[in-house]
Amino acid sequence: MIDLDDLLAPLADADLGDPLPVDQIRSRAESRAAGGRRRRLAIVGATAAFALVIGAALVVAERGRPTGVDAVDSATTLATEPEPAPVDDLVADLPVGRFPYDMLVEGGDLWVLNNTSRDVTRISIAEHRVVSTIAVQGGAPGGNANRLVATAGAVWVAGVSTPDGPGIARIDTATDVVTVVPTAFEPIAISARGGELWVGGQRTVGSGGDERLDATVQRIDVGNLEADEPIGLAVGRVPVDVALTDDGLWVLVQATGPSPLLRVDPATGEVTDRIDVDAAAVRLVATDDEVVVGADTSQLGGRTGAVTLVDPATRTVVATAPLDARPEAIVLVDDLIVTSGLRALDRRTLAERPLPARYSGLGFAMTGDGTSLWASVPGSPDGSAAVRRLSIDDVRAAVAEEAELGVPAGWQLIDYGELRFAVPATWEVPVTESCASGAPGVVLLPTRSTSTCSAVNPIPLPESVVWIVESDPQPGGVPAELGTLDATTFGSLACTTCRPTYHLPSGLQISVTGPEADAVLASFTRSGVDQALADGPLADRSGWRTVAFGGVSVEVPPGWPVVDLPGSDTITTTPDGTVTGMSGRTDPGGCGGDRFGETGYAYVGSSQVVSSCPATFVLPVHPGVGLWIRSFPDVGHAMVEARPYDGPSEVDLEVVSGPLNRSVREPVLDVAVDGPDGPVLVTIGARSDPATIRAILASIRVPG
Amino acid sequence: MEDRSGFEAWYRANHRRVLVALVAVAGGVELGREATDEAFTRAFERWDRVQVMGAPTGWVYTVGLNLLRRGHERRALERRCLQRLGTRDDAPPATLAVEVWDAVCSLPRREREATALRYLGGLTDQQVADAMGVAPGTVARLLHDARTRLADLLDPAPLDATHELEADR
Repeated sequence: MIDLDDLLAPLADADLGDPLPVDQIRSRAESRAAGGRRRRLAIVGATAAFALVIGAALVVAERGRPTGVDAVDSATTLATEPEPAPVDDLVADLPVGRFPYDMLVEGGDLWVLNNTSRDVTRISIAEHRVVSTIAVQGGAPGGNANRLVATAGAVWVAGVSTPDGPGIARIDTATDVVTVVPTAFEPIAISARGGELWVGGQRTVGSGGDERLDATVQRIDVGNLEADEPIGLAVGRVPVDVALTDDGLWVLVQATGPSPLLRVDPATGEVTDRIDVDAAAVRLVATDDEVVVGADTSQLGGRTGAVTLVDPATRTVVATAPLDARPEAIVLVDDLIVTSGLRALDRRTLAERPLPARYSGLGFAMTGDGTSLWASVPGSPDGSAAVRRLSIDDVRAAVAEEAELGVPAGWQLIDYGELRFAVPATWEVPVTESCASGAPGVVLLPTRSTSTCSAVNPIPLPESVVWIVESDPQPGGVPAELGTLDATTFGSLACTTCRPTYHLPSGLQISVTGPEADAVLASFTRSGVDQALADGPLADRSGWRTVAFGGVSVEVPPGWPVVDLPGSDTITTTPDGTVTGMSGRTDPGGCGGDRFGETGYAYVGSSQVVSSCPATFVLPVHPGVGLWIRSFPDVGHAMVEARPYDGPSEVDLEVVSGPLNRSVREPVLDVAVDGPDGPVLVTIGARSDPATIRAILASIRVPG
Repeated sequence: MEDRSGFEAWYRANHRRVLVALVAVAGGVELGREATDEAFTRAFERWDRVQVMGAPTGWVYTVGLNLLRRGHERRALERRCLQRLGTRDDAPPATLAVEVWDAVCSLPRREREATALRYLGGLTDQQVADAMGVAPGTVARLLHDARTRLADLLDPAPLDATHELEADR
């Protein structure tokens, strides 16, 4: 093996010039400090004048902390003056109609077909805004808007109903004007190439007592909108998708048994090949080099789906892979096949390439535009839905990152504060605090070791379980690796019949039992806020609210209520001023008080209301969503360590760690920023999406 | 300016190692110098806090690495290193063999950082881990991978015995 000391010795001895003189370092520092002071003096001057006016009105003196909340809704500004879309953003949610079912990019715009609202949402990719919503009802009830396809100057919708029967809708991309073209049957699938358009559906054939439904395709000339005679395929099932390539017309027919994938000669209408793929096939994507079929086996009572890869040259199945998602949509991205879910598969082998959990659930409808992946977001109960913009580079990076971690394909990733780990996808109870559920694959998240989940508790644990408890850090022990984490254990690693408990410096104790224990243990790595601190994409801040405190502003996602902690205090006193009672919201992290939870809140300032600590009851600690901005003097400096934040921030931030005045150790990220009135601390709940945390950090400003 | 006594002595004692390491990470003398100067300037600005840290030099390494990561997109940097355009910014130090410089530059970013901090910065594995924000075990793996990769790049393949004999004739 090479000796790096010897190899690099010449560089260590190289002439790299003299050090920058200390005088010049001082000069640079003073120059920057002068700029900062000028800005700060202006802010302090304005603050002092304001304080003189309102000072007399203050009744309760704060403990040297700035008070009050500035909440500014930036949505109006954003609506009237949309900012250009930042291409590198991971997340940009844009509203669309009900049940987005298919989408494509044409002419620089994203076109989203909304199945339930029967309209098309046209979104400007450059401006990140909805340009128009185009109704595609054909003038009669019914119809089932299924698929979109684009040709030069037009976007087509398969599945509209006209007074004269079924048809397809042509949307002129220059004017948004809709023209309906009647078809001989209800079109379910549609594909285009060059000047021709093919639709697929079912048509009644035969007569008398011999009537039956037949899968049928029909060619339509895009230029004159004239339709050729329908071509029956003699398959009594529904053609759910068609794809026209140089090699021919591929028709995917859905069946409860093996689904026929037909290759039709477009010139003659002859079915030249039949390849049976998975049952309940739903989606077909074809290029000149490959044909990819997605199957939704949940239709047959299963939970999952499957993807089949077909070689169009040999017209044979290359590979089939089960999938823990329903591949209603399929997008080909470089060497990846990305399906609804979002699930990523190797384009050659169909080996699954795990993606982080934050992508899960996206993409019932999807498309790509070369730099971005557009995926539908599950709709809310009121029917509203959205599409989300993901950077393809970030999806690729996430795939590479997961590959490096060695997460088994198909496993689900769980983020917990500083931890990330993976468990088999078949574990149906991924997170619980109950030892008594008895379900396989329970993940028990931190509770104090006094809880009923202790290792010696008589309650029988399920066969497979990840058991995590919080206790005081345990000194000593045998050094051990828990995934990529350094840990210690007090058990013998040579013991093959017992499972060691791993101790982390933070005090968490972790053990895993069950047949998958080794793989679960190997998957442990840092997560949560650590992911947010790494290079990565930012959430789009459109519609976010600005909250200010102590001369520092920060933006928070829409929907996070702002809680003015000092303002919520109610203090009862006797006539002589003796405090007899207090109520109000407590600081996040107080025992039994406010906490970061499932729903994000933006807490501002520090409450005078002290929650009762130490608590006499077991207090489970969960990673939560939310933000807390307050003055730094509340924090004991001596307890805090700081390191510079390297991220997309316009102001210098430092990541700080230590007790930070929280009685309950919640998984959070704390950053400090110098405000005009002194340092300000911003605390962000670790459950927030890393892209959201980065966006919050990027939004921190010292106005003025 | 507040009292910054002690800064100069610390700066003079540590500047050289930080500079050498960051030059290797940057893949260029000028880039490495810029990052080094900026990192020490920031330390000077925050000297009251930095000087009481357990490892002030580790703080400077972290700042330097962050500056380089922020300022220079990784792939562009590696491309620049490999192409070695011949400008002073990208030229290897005169005393270093070109092939060694190219090999070091071709290392993946994290392997290059670990190698530079460990063997040029003189940090321990734990200090490298702290500066890079990774576990010590990860540092060990990165260094092992870097050694393997460099060996592949720099160790000439042994000649086949037959060829040696033929060459001797």
